[in-house]
Amino acid sequence: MHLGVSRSGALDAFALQLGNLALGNCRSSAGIEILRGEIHVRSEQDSWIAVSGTHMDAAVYGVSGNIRDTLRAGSPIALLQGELLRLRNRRATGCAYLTVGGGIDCPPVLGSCSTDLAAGFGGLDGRALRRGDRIVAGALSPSQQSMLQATCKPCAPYSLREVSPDTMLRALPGPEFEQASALFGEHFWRTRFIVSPQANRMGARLVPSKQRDHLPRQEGAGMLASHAVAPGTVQLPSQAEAIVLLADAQTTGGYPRIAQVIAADLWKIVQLPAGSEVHFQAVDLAAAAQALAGRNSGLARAEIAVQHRQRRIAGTSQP
Amino acid sequence: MARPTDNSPLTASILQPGRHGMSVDGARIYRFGETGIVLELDKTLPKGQQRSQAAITSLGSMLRRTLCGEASRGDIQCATAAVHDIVPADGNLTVFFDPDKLHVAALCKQVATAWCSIDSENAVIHGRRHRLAVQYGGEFGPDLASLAGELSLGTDELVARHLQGCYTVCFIGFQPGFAYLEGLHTSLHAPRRISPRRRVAPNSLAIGGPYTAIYPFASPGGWHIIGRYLPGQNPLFDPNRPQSALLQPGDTVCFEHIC
Repeated sequence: MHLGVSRSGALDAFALQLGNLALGNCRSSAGIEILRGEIHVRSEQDSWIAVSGTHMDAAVYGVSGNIRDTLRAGSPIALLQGELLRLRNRRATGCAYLTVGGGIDCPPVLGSCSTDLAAGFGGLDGRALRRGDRIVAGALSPSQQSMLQATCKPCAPYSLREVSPDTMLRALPGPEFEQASALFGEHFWRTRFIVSPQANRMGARLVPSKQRDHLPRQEGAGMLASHAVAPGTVQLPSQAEAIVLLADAQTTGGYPRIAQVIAADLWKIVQLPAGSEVHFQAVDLAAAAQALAGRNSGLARAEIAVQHRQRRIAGTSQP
Repeated sequence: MARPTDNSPLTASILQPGRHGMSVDGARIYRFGETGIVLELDKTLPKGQQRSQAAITSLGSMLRRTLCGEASRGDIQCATAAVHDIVPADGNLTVFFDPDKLHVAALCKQVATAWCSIDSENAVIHGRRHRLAVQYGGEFGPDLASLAGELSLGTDELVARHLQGCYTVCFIGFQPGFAYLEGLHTSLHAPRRISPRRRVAPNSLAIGGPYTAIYPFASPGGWHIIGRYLPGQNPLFDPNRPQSALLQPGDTVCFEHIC
């Protein structure tokens, strides 16, 4: 970020990690983020895939053109040579991840496989995927291979459970919070916001749900010297909206840092459908740490379960 | 992994977010969210006692050495498992860290020690000098004439004053490699445009507030576009170069007008 480069990466990092874990991949393997529309992937060789994140209509079509199987989130499935995977975000909301056994093979730029769309580097030529692109999967480890083969006949006997988002965004007061008036503070935590459809990878926009809930004017807003901001930072550029910064946010900004959505809750803004009513709830650092530990322990349990499965299968294949 | 603990009362004030923090030699250190601490210059001090942006720049390079290990051989080396980033900005510097791997109190102590060891007056910055070729006006500088009008200057006079300046890189932000250059003649300071442009062309040379800068990439932007940088073999940002950003905090920049 000291170079002005956004953090980038998955909007819902938990979901991407879950998708990787389902396949026995390293948690931080690259995946494909799908925000809207439909994606069709034809496999040039036998491979393993998983889908996680928001609900998608997901189906594998056999070489004959008929549906061979449908996918559940967090379950690995084989995509055989010549087969077609169709993913459709019917509700056009949230984001989903397509992960591939062995991860996606892509050269890291500045230590990351993420794509910086604005500056045009990283990922595949620094741009969003388009028709005709070829994705190369990394190699499966032998234990991954045997685990997936043992689990996925006929298909997906296990699936890692995902949490659905609730509408409470826990947040720490930001550095400029206490400079605002007491009235403002009280008002901010009480206000109900609607998730606006105007959102992108840089930030999500929230508007007060009632006209009369316009936020009181802040003293000295917009006159602050630039300082670092991060995903989760809540800014109020006007009285009628709050912006929550996301993965591709700028690295510095001059709006007051009113609050910081905690790491355990930031994904909710991305996964909630536009029109959802949300509110911020003040918490302290201990609560934030506890919430994050809870979220991570869920993933850790999933990781252990998958590793256990790998070991058991490796054990049974021993002569 | 067990969370490291430190219960010293000195650091109790920075354990919760908020701007109180702790005072240290012309600055305050305070918590920002779960993963950040900020050192910010105290602007309420009398002018003579205020510390400078140069001190922030020195602190940035010093922390990069002490917190991130060896002198950074490349840009990626600036991140470790415990310290994710060190981001200098306008009179402040933020360290992003992993609170499970590094106790906030220990980190604050390290930042405070580094800060106190910097001699403001002699904050020596071994910056590089750059001479950047630019073209003013015409299709490349759509706001040159209107800005000159706003400032009650002729366009030639505006260009001459801009060319005379020798600028220092204050900090990098907004876009990859976007360097805020200070040293703009006060007669050229100008508030942002009333309506921001939807798209500013890459390499646009601009004026905004007390700064001048070049946009490395296309983006929406509200500054006055007065010309364009001719990058030749030296793009402002190239992620595949050992040093991705051409301009680094503390570097000096002069412009050369190519007709």
